[in-house]
Amino acid sequence: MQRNLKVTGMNQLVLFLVLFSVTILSSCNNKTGPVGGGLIPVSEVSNDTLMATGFTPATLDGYSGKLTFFPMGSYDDQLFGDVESIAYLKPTVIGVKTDTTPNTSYSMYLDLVFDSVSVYGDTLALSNFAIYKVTEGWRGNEFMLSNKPSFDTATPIGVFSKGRQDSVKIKLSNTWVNEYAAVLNDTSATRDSTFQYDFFGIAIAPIGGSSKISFPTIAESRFRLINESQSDTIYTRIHDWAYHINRTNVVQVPERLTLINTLENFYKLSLKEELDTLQAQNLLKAELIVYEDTEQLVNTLPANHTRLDVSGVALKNGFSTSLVYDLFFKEPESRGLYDSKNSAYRFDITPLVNTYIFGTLETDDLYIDIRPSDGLLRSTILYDETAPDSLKPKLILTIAK
Amino acid sequence: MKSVQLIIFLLLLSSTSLWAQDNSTSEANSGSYYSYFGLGMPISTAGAQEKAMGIIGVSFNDYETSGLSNPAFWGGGAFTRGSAGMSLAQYDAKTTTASSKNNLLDFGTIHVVFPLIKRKIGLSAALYPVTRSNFRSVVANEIYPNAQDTISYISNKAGSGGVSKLEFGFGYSVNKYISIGYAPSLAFIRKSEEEYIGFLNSGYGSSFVTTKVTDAAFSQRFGLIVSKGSVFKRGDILQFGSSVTLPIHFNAKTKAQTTKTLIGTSKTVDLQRNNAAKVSLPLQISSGFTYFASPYLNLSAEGVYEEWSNAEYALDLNQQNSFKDRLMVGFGAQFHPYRKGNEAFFSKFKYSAGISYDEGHLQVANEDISTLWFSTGIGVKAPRASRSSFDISIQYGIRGTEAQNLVKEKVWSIGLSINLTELMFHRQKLN
Repeated sequence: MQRNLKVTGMNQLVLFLVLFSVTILSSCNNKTGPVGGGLIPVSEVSNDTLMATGFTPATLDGYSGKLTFFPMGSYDDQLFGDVESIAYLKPTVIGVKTDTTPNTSYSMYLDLVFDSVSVYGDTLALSNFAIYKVTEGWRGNEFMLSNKPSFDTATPIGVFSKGRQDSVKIKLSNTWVNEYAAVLNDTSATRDSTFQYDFFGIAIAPIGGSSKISFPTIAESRFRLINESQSDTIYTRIHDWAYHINRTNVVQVPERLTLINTLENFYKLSLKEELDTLQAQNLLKAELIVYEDTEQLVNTLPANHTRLDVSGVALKNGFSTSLVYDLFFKEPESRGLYDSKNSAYRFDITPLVNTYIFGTLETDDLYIDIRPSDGLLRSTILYDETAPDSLKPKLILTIAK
Repeated sequence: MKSVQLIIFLLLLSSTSLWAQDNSTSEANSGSYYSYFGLGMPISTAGAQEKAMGIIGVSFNDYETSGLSNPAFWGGGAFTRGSAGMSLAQYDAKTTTASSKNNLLDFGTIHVVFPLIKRKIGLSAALYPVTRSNFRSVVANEIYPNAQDTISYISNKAGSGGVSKLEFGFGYSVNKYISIGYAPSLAFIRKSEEEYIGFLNSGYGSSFVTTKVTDAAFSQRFGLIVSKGSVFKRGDILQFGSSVTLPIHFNAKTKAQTTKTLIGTSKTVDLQRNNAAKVSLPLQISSGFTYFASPYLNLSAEGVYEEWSNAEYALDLNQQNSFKDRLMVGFGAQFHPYRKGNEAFFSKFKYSAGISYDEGHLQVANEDISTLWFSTGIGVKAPRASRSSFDISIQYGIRGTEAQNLVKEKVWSIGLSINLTELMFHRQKLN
């Protein structure tokens, strides 16, 4: 009995020691500090700055139909050329419900509501416009910037002036109303075909030396039919819309890259030469920086004249058969965020460069242009690879070695 | 006693499970900062009993533990012996400007010896660590992409693994004075370094790179025991033991991987750091004497020499250049009061104590990274006729220096060896 008791005592000691060890293990509460820093080397994070070269100017005839805005007016920009914009509109006949058949007793108005903050040109100017009947077929979905369907300038449908107001209401001529009513009242089976192929809408063109371009919004602009005697109002939405741009006298500034968001000026960029030096390194960040020539932008703008802010510059890679389609509608691989401190656009292109290193890019070519292309006319000027070193486009690579 | 063993087994099992869920970047798995170098710090083959005496056990074995340190021990003894060990160490590290505490739990050796012919020929099988790397370093740093900007980042680097051996060998008792042993093995490297880099500034992605070093090579070692009784007095035994491990040559392959965000997807990619290079572990010679003055007292003096100056680590020549020859000497004694038949509680144990000095295999910034160990421990014998035992060692070591901005470490280490000697394998003469 005594022996058993002592054996039990030993067991307790062993158990105590094991439990003690396990308890210490379970209660490990370490305070690890930076002790190993001098002894154990860690990866060195460093920045490599490469000058980005290989900018090739490019131009395309961009889409200009069915965008959010349809610019109208003209402006002689000292930097980006003499710009004239003509808007094309076509009222719908589909879904227009009238109590009576519209006829000559009806008046028709075009209500244009402008983007209140977007003015390209002289903000104080009064610009004049004439509205004409279009005599040639067109479709907004396939309307390109250079398209200019003809219109009958001999007999304006209406005229109006645009000052600083946010909207204008223009009464259209009875001749036009009758032509529209003829299609609207057509009950034959060929009405849709007539509307599609024989009714071409209106064109709004600047007249008399307009010095600004304004931007009506499709969301709020509309046509309106009013029966004056019965105070009956019929709202008619805009079925199709587009705009034509004619730009001349663009100044070719040396050592600069000119970007215009209609694709009239954009750049193809190849970073292959720079990226081929990277191999399979642990790239933590790749940033492309392009510097804006703010001095040139400011100095070429007279007092009270404005250009639209460039909300974003896009870098794209990987294209299907239509470059213009992809540039317009494909999500960019990187958006350049504006760094106001350095007057530069900074593109985080880390996934793009890592894809170049570790994957497969659809093409080595990148395209840099201003986005979005929503009908607002945006443009800017950047320093190119021949500019002074501090202003050259740069590729900054942060690498852990 | 069986119930105690069962409880201990379950506790160890649960601890093992706990540890298995741990990853190498966790604080609970960090050891010496000096284990960063090469394939890690050399690990002694000593069990807790030998550690408690401050020796490696090349000349000392009681034939009731498996005796991994010298293959010549495996021919002696009559019982099947199995040992498993674990240790828990706390590293209190200091530099002139900073300090930290790390804890390391390590499950080390599994070793069994089967006597083919009692006290003549025995076979051995073992899985044990040869080197271990367990470190963690956190560094805050800054880069300056231009004159106006400062980018701050933190690097958290952790290492684990090392070289292990799967060894099969035999021991042969030539006569009552001389025993020899031979142990070929497969030595394999499984070493991993993980580095996380995180930025405090937005716009910078984090990075987690895992670098693995792998290879396997043939290794072999030889053992010799020479013992003689009645050397200084009647009934005493003087025993000389020596073991030689030949150099191991690897062609180590490294593979560094990280996950990168590509356009539209994430992908685990190989970094260009991948390569193959010659790595080797040096010749090791261990020798020592143990004097069994009486059944109650034995004394040991042992030394280990490792030719690290010839070791290669071509993966990083800076680390290779830190290698220097290593000499470790240890002196210890063991007292066995239980053999006197005293029934007092404290007479049920064997007591060990010792001291050892390890010159270390590293010279960093012209400073030798040496370690002074003070060791003690107890052995707990199983009751009645069982030969099984538990050995517990407690060691306190002082390693390194704060000079040259190096790290001085104070190490507390608790080791536990479980020695199963006859339970499953000894044929009972009587039922």
